[in-house]
Amino acid sequence: MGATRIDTPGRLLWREHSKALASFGIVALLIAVGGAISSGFASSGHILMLVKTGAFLGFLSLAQLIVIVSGNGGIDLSVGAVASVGAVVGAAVLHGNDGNIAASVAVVAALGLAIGLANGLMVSFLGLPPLIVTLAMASVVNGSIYIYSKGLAVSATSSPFLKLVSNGTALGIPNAILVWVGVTALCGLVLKYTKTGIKLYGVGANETAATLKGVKVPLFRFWVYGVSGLVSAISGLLLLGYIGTAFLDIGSRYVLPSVAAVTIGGVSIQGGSGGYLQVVAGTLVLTVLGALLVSLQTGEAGRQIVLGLVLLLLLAIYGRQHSANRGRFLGGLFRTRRA
Amino acid sequence: MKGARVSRGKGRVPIRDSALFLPLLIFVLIVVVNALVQPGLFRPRIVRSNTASFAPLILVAAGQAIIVLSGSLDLSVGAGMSLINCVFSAMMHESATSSALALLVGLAAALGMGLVNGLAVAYLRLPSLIATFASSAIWFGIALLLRPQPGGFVTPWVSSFYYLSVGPVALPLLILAVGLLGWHLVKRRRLGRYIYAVGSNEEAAYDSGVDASRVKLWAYVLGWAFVFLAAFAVTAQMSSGDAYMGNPFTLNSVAAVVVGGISLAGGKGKVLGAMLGAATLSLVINVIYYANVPSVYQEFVKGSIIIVALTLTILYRRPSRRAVGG
Amino acid sequence: MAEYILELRGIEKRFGGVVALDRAELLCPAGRIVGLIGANGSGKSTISRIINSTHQLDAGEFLYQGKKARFHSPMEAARAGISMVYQNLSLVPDLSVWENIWLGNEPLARGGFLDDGAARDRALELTKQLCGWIDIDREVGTLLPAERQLVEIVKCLARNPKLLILDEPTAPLERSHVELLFSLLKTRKSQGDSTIFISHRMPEVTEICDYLVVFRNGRTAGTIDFEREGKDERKIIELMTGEAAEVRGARERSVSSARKVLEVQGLSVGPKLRDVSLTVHAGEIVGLAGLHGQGQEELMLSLAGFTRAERGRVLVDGRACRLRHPADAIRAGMALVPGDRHRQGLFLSHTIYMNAIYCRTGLADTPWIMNRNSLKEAVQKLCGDLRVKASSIFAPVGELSGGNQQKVVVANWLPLEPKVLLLDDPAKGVDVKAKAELYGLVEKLTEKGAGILLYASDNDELLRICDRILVIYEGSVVGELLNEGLNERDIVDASVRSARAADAPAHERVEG
Repeated sequence: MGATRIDTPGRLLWREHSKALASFGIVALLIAVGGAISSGFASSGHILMLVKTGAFLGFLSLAQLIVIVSGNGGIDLSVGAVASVGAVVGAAVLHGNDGNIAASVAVVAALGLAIGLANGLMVSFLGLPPLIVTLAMASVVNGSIYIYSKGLAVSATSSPFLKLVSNGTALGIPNAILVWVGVTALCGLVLKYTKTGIKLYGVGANETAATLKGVKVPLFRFWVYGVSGLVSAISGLLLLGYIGTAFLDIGSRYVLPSVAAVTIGGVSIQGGSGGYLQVVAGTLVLTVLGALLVSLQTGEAGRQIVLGLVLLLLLAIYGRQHSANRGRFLGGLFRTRRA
Repeated sequence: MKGARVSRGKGRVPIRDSALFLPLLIFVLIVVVNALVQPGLFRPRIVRSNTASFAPLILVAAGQAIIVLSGSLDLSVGAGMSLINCVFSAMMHESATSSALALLVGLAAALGMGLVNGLAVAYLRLPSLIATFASSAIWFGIALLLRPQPGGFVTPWVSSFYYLSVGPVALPLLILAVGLLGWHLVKRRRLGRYIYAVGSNEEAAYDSGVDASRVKLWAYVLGWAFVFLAAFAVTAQMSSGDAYMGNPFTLNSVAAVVVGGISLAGGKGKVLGAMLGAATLSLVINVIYYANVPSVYQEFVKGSIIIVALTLTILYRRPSRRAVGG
Repeated sequence: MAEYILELRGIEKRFGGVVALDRAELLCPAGRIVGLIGANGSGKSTISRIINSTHQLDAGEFLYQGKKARFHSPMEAARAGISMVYQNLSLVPDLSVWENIWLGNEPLARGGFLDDGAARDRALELTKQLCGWIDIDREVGTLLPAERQLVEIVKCLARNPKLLILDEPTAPLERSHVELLFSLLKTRKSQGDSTIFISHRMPEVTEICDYLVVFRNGRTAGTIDFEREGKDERKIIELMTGEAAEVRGARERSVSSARKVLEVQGLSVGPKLRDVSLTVHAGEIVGLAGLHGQGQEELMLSLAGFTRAERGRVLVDGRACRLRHPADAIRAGMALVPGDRHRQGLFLSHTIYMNAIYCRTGLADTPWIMNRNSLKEAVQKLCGDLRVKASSIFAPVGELSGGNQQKVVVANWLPLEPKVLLLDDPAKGVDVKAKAELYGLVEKLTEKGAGILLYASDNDELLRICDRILVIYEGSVVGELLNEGLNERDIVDASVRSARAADAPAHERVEG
């Protein structure tokens, strides 16, 4: 190859995964700090429990990742609501009965896909801004659940198998973590080795170039939102297994953290790049940080403040955008014109 | 001019093309529907009470509108309202000086929050969605520190002041008018024009000599002046402090902005539109209540209205012409 | 008043490794309309940007109104009286015409409030001469491109510049607008203000300018004072193309087949491309000559399926195609190497590997799970064949030089064995060696029977490898030249002649 030197595998690996590695480093640091402060924090049992808790945020962050990578301001604020509806509807179909598992999964998947495609339709073909569309959709979906449950708490429960998947252990490792590992591997495969994955990166990185190379971009994005909905809904089903009952708000606390997890992992909010491993790292940072703050007994207040500050800090490092001014502070308090 | 292509169109636009047409139409529609289900809607007492309870959302929507017009977004306004509210309840005692001081500190807090958000977005160039989400966690945390449990004391004069009225005209209406007037004063100055310019096309504005970052910062600060007023109004109504009270206001303010015909991309729309949008959303809840629609439908209807309004706004305003370059 | 309003001497400017200006000189006599012309890459754009201080000179002397001057930004220059109208307009779509005219320069009333009354009145006055039919209350976003250009000019005029620079101002304008602009420039001259008029349209330059500066290869090739020396077109062309007008030989191979791989019949796309017909045979390289912006890019993008044509037929290998999307064009066997490789051709933050395999993702016969190992080998081989200089195929494409980036773009298409390769100025910004390698590759493709449609802004490139050259002017094919003993002057001549014919008496022209 001309006059070139071949990159060593180590160098390649570093370039590809430096951001994820940095985030994992932060996780390790936080665990160490936690261990120093409160005994048992860094114990294997506790770490496993943390990772298990993080898995569910991880699944929803996957949905968020693909939408963000698809570019053009892509974001999905309905992931929480769709997870909730997945849990509620899933529970209803299950009726606590393992025999209905297949039907439950099918119905939930179809529902999630449909809602996601509705989002995709409005974003891609009507050209509406993703932020508002998915926000409004969240309202519509949450509202629908509320109507369906007539405002009462939904008392449906999950089935034993589901509980096993989300809450059981195999060889001492929580099944949820095994599922998460499997999902991570699958993502790595799909995003890097399949037509769809590679197409996705091109679409997010440079819409024009992707179009000129034959990709039907609006149609593709339409399906991306659909898949996001599907993943969110199935995540809701898994949440049902984890928590045991489905209630209205089960997913809403995951929405903005899913966006945060993606950003903390170093994925650009403008799309076109970023892998799931980074998101896993970001999810773990959030989860461990949250747990650390709990153990510090800072109280909810302290937790929120630190979370916010950390997020801002990471944004300032990773997530800055282009601006006309290039951010220069051009003298004078009231002057609105340039020198 | 033989044969040259010219575009047609008048400048002073007929009412149908004005940016306020659609929000006004929707608002009137809702008022009509409301009047049908609630015959007493136009009675002075009801008008006063509605104005008083709608005012907080209307004010915060106005603040959000200014920020959106400049091309940004602020998802921390709700948490900010909570914080200001908690500041009031933490600092107010029986004495007049304490309450005056509380108001001043609250104002300082509001402008400070606007400054922080503005610096982060305009100078650090952080994406406004996540940056303000992060800051909302910070404001909420501080509010919780000030007031871990809902409660606290708010000097009585605040409420009685708020509920002053002459006929159907209540003080809240005056606050709204003053706020709007303040914004119109700004519009008569360069800053006001530049907010629109920067929201419309930041590069072109910069090329024309506008300090885009400074303008965006000012948009945040001005917006938060309105958030302060909103916090005052809501405190007067609740007469207590609660760190959670601001939560619904954030997304509702964004919804109000959208229903009010303001483009989320910036540069287009009127603050009055957002205020109408907020009033519309509030009336929708009213309608649901008086039409004996089970309140469980509230959330669903709200979301649907936003989607419909958004679709209408986009379809109505084609063709889009963001880039004027080349 | 000083004799010269602007004196630039010994100007040098480099961008990275590329020399844009090499001891260039520009002396602008005061109170005149100075024309600045030159071929693409001659340096005329760069020097205009140095005048208005968008770029700073690396070396040389800059005298304004007889005094040494150095402005740190276009704003500073504007305030000193040097104002430039760009092709990238600085208008904001949601504000009105008059608000845009005064943007950044608003007249103020007492207390710092905007004096809108005075602004509107003055805007009305200013627009009267140039674009009086436009209602100044209209939003700029609703105007036609030509109208926006006129408003941008008025915006510059509002600052009362002593030196007004117009960079290709007539590109979006129609003849009647141009007449208005010219009468405005004459008014300026009568008031003692100076203008620099940059344009490639010879007839306009000879009509309105009274002094001409010709640039070539980063230097001043010569000046002609029309008032004293008269307007000699031959002399102008000579200065533009250079004394050494060698005869370029014809290509050493002949077109082997009469099979038509591409036939375009009566294609019309938007306002820029009108009724274009052409044919490309297998193994043939057809060139499109003409200065930039004459419709070549529109033709390429339409054939690639990106822009939809209003009228016309396209046949590939004898079969008619409906080109509604690039996927259709690719399936028909057409591949486009686009004009702006950063914005249209590459994913800059991604690896050479990803860029090179990307178009396979759109093909139905690629398996869903792509075999990374075999693909890696294939890309490795491609990069070797094309001599792409990079540390590895997993290096980000953004790090490569322009020439290597372009090779990656082409490498993307090679495995698909396109029947027709469309090249939109492929060697722009590419170094000499890579350019030769690229064109060598193009010739090799023709040996396999592909047909090439090539647009190059540098006529030399066309002369070196094309079999036939079509001259494009204002969106139509105005001439066809067989490349036998052709030289650059012939091409420029053909363009100028058709420009003359096109600007025949206004009432005979049909306005679009």
